[in-house]
Amino acid sequence: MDLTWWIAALFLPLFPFSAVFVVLVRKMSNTWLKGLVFLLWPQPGVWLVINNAGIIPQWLLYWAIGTAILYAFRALVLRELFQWLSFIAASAWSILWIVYSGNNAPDLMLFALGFSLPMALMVLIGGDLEKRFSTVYAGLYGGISESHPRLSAMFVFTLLAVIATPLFPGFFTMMSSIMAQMLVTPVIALGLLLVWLFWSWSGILMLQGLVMGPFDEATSRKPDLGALRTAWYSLSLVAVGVFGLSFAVVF
Amino acid sequence: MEYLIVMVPALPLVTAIISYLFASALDRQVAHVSVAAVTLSLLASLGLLWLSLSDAPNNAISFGENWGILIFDPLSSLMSVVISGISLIVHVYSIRYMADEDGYGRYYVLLGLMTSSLLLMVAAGDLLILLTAWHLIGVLLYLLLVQNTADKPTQRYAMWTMITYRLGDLPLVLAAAVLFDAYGTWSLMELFDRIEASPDVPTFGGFAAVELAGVLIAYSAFARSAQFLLHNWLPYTMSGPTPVSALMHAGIVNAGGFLVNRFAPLFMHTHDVLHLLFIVGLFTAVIGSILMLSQNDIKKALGYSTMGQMGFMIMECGVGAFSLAMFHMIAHGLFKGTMFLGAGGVIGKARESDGVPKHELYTFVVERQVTYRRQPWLMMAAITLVIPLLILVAAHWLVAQDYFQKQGAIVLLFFGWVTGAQLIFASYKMQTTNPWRLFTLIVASFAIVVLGYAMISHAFDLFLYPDPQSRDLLYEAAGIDLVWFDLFVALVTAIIVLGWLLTYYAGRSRIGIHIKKAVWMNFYALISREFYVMDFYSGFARRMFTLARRLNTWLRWM
Repeated sequence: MDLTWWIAALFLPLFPFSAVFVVLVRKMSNTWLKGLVFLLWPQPGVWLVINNAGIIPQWLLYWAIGTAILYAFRALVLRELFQWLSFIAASAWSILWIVYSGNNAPDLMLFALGFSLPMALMVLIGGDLEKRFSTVYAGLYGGISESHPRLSAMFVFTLLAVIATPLFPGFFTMMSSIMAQMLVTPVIALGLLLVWLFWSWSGILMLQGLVMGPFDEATSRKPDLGALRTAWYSLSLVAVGVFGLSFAVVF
Repeated sequence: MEYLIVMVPALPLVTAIISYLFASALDRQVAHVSVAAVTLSLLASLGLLWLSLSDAPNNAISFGENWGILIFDPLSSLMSVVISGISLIVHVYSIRYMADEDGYGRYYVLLGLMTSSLLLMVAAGDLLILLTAWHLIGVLLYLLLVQNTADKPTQRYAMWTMITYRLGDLPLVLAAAVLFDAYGTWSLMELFDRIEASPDVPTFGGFAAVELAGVLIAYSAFARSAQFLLHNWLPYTMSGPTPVSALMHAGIVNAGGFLVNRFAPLFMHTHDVLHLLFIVGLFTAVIGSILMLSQNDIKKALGYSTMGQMGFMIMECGVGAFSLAMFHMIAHGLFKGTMFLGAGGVIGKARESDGVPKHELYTFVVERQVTYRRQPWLMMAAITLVIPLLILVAAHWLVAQDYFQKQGAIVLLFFGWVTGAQLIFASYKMQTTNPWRLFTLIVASFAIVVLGYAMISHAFDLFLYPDPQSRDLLYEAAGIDLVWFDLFVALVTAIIVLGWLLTYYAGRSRIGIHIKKAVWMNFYALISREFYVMDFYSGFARRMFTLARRLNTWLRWM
């Protein structure tokens, strides 16, 4: 395996190289910069993999699925939104190795964007939460579904996009990967199913911890999202949805 | 017709989007807008059903090259009417029921999206649309169940529902992968044609693709229709809004039966999958009924009743009676929806006064007072065993003379016979001034039910599966070796007769009373803990979380 693969393993994170990305996200405080990192991080990896144009060895695919399962599983018990998101990102981007091996190389950049876009959007929404409540920690405050309907609606829809719910790009990426692997390496296909299940599970836990819960007087005093920002987020989500639907054409 | 096919799922979807965008302007009017949309959707569905009944040929429209197909066939038109009809009732009922709840607008938006997804599922003409709708239903159900966002138990059990649904979604993805790989098409109609042309295409591990895909589809149906071991979400999701419970029990939970029917052309060519459906369905029907009888909470009892009914529905598919399962599903949806929507009112009235007149039925069922008057046992035994059998045979002979050559039909007749016999048997102990009048009424009711059931299900058979060869193939796929079949019937008969004998002699003999009591108490403990299934899952989830925490501690920032 030449050096290109090793560098690519940083950007399409394979454990333990994934630690670089996780630590970087942890250290960053600027929301916009963090969003940009989530959007662009896998792209150098994609570029390297495509231009290397080699055949990915089988053991590397097992490594990739192992990384995806590890981070998805560990995300089950995380409560801090950005840390959770960095784990889900590490899990999702490692799957891009499997996407590449499934004859989807020409569209790999789009598949990577399909994962990254909702995550970057979630970072911005997380920033809005952080601005209002100082922290984005599940279970610390709740009841914002009633006190902040716009913010919670945006959060829910974006979270659904992150965990690869239908119509969003992640759904089609997961489907195409599972379909490509099912008959070639069924173990990897089953691993992908497990990852998808863990994403849903941890996503729902995050949603319940951040958005639901009894009405809190102190929380409710903070302002909801403004109309303009809500419209901007909504349009971004619609764009992500349309982008996702365009993936259906790949089938 | 093309417009109608699109209108049915599109109307609730468009209305939900409009309601979301103009939520503040519409305010409480959101309910009326949604009701209007679902009413139009129902009218469009009725139009499609009318066309279908008028022998209009099956049709399909496609938005993409090989995806985005919506189909019109008897199954989709029938299911569209059922779903939009039940959804309309739920919409109207919710106008006042949900009036004081927070998130009134959100509730109607989600209800509209759910209706649209269900209608999309039944009209799906390709695997991609089917998978998309199938996944969306789980997500939307979760969001509807957590309407009361402040309640912790509601969130907990809604999450169980979501996880179980995800467990059911994923095998369907695998089934789609297997079928696409083997037959090279997403279109369901094309897929079924290719399966008919070459049903034995091999796939992974040398299995026939239809066999492997059949098992995976069956597993998806089990999760969606709350079959045993995947059932816990159903009785525990009662803290969601009552109209959502009604929609769930009358419509959403039936998706398993629909899925099996949608893939009937695939199941026709399987060898063992329908046996799996029969066993799981039978087991679920028995367990669900036992658990229902042990509940003291009306909504939870209704939940377990649904589980039992879903078991019976899957079992019907397992014996090859696919159209009967559809009829059962619709009938169950209507009566269970009514019961849920009425449950709140009944509980409210019962709090003021139970209002139950103290007559014979009350003293027998509630106070368990039995009569000491005896009828001649030989004559009563003859009535118990012979009359139900005569009624069943006559009813089925009336609709199709060749019924008795199909194993599936015999199994269902057997169940009908046992039910009828049990009904008469149970009434012996009832206190009544005129026992013969009572028996006559019971037998007459039984005859009406059986005749109605046989005739309507036969009509469903002709409507959904007009090709006699398809019906024969389904029964054939469900058939087993004759020796095993006879042994099975003999075993079940022995168990039932033993049960009757035990019931008949219960309380008459003091021999071994302590052992009987101990066995009974242990059994009761088992069912009161619901066979420890929930405990097992909770324990398993706790261990998983502990492991994840340990991993995070060991790996720290990595």
